[in-house]
This record gives sequence, C-alpha cells and structure tokens, in this order.
Amino acid sequence: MNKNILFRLMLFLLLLLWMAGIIFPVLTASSQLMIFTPFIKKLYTNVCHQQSYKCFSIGGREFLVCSRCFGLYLGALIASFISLFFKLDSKGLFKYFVLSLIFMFTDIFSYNVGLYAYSKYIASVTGIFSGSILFIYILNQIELHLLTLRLSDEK
Amino acid sequence: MKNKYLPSLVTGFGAAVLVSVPWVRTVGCCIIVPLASLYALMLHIKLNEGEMPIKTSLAILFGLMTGLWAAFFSALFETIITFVIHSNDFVQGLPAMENMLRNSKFVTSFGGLFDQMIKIYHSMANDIRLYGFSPIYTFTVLVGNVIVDSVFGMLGGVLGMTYLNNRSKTVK
Repeated sequence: MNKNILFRLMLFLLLLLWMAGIIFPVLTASSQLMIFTPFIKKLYTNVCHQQSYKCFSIGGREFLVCSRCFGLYLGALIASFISLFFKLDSKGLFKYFVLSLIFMFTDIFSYNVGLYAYSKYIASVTGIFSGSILFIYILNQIELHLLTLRLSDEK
Repeated sequence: MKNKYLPSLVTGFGAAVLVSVPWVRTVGCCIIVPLASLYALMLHIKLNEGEMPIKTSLAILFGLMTGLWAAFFSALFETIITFVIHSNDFVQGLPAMENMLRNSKFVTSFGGLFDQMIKIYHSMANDIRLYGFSPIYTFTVLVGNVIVDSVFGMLGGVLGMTYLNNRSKTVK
C-alpha cells in the first residue's frame, strides 16, 4: 500500500477514535463501559469548556465537547475520509481558512452581544468548515515533511 | 546563551496559567496550547537565532515540548488549587454523574463493576474533600493532559511553522 495512503488511513482511524471518545456517553449507553464516562469526560476538559447548554445530546446523553468543537473534529474527520480517496491540496485554501475563522468569530460575537440566541447548529457548521480546512493544511505540511525525509534518505 | 528548551518551557507555563483561568478556558479552550507552540517557535528564532525556514521535525519537537510542559504545569496548578479549596469540578459533578449512571436501565447488568467504580469515584472525591489531594485523580489528570496537550502542541507547532515560513518568504 502507498505510504501516503497508509499515513492518511492512520490519521483517519485516530480521528475516528477521538470522535468515538466525544460521543462516548451515547455509544456506551447500553454497555458497562459507560461507567468510565467521568474519566473520558475529564480527558476532554483540556480541549473544551463542555458547557451543558452548548453540547449536543442524544437520548439525554450529552456529547463530551460543545457543538463548535464537535463541528471542528467532525470537519477534520470528513476531510480525512475524503483524503483517503482524493488528493487534497492546500494551495489557495488560506483565504477560505480566514473566511471560516471570520464566520466563526462573527457567530461568537453575534450571540455574545445578543443578536441571536446560541445555536448549536450554526456553531457546529462554522466548526465543520474550519476543521476540514485546518486538517487539509496540517496533512499537506506533514506529507511535505515526509516527502523531504524520503528524498534525503534516497540521496 | 542558547537554550533549545527554554522557549517551550516558558510558553508551556504560560499556556498552563491561561488554561487554569476559567473565563479564558471557556473562550480559548483548544487554541491556547497550539498558540503557545507557535509562540515557542517565535521565541526560539528570536533568542537562539534559529534557522529559517523552520524544519517540520523541529516544529513538531517544539510543539511536543510545549504540550508536555503545559500538561505538567496545568496538572500542577489544578492539584494546588484543589489542595487549597478542597473541591473541584469532579467533586461537584460527581452526584449528577452518579445519578445519570444509576438511572441507566442497564445498571442491573453491571454487576460488581459498577459498585467498584463508584467506590473508586467516591474515594477520590472523599480524599479531595478531606485532604485536598487524591493520587488517583492527580494521575488521571496528568495522563489526560499529557495525551491531549502533546497532540495539540504538535498540531500548533506544524501550523506555526507554516505561518512563520510563509511570513519569512513574504519579508524576503
């Protein structure tokens, strides 16, 4: 298997694991593993404020990160899945990344000044947009580095 | 004096301080450690007259070091704060969490595991309430911080490298 594809597959699986952790209370609702929820929740406090009213929930079980963070990681997961089949180039993506940040901060500013109530859906959409672009950026940088290493090894 | 590890120590410490402030944590959450990695790279270039363009391996190393320092210091700060106030979000959230677990319709199928885990949670909470310190809790916090902060630190390092390399190209 192509080394790049193997690397992308590994990233995809890691992101999948990370997402599984986020929806851990939902996934383990009918299993004994549910008892480990406090530990897993603690793990995600480092990356998200986990305010209850900002988290998605299914069947009364909240996700372990807020909807914006969930969107960010979901965007990265989607991009990593697409990267398994297509080559994603980060050239010219910078302006879209800036645009996605503008969307995100406009949303944060708007609900903070009271223009509208906090919407989990808007927050997660802004997150998906940024997360996917950010993933493509990071992937390109790491693959570029791996290519440089391979070339220097060949020399 | 050239010191390769000082920038990541300084910015990792700064990130840990910021992460310990509740309001900053709510706003900044996952961007504090990556930003600290970026700043560590900037400091390295300024203090040690580091080479441009920055290599990915160096960026990842700086990100990792920043993440590890941030993990260590934030666990230390949390332990100190918990020791002083004899409470934390785990102790406060335990009754609600226990309620949620007990209300599960599958609780009967848990058998001894459920009671064992609840006992461990309660002993952690009791230790924190009585002495302000629980070794298991501190270990859990440290492990969690190391895993998450090192990954986010490395991501920040790679992104910071892209930004700094692009900026140096523009300046040239």
